Amino acid sequence: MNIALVLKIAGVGLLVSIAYQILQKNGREEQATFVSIAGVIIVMLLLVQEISSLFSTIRSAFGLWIY
Amino acid sequence: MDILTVCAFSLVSLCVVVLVRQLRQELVPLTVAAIGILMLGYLLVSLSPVLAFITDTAKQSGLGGYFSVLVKALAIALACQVCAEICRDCGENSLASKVELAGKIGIIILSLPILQQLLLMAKEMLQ
Repeated sequence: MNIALVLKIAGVGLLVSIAYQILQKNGREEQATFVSIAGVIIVMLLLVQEISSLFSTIRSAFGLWIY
Repeated sequence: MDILTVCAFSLVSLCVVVLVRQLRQELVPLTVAAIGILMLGYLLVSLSPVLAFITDTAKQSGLGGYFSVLVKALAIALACQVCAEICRDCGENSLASKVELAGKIGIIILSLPILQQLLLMAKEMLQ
């Protein structure tokens, strides 16, 4: 369990939130939306690696090569 | 397996989830999914000695073949449950129920050979 990943996600959320606020105050609604979507995608990319490592852990722990 | 590690991890994760919910609503399901995946990975790694012990015991008692099916069914159930819970956290109940159905079908397919053996045995006994 590396807590670093969870803290990283929190940091992404914080930075995206700040950038969103700044862009929105300056009247750039469109770019603010793009920043928000980029944050979601970054977190998804972080998560995909963890999901793949979880599945390989399940395979190795249970000796599972069924399908 | 360290209980205090799990407790500390869950508390820090709770703080992060509350913070993220305040800041960005759309990142909450992803954060919860990440925490769940990390915890499950740790728990699976700490479960492996138990599995090794049970497998050894089953092999000594001559039930190794049947027991491997049981362990595989447990793995399918765990994977499907985690996946369905992540789907449910994101508000997709129908997707979650499909994943659970897939798990049930997988376990049934896995246990078909044993059912076949049982039916064969019953047939032999009847004859």
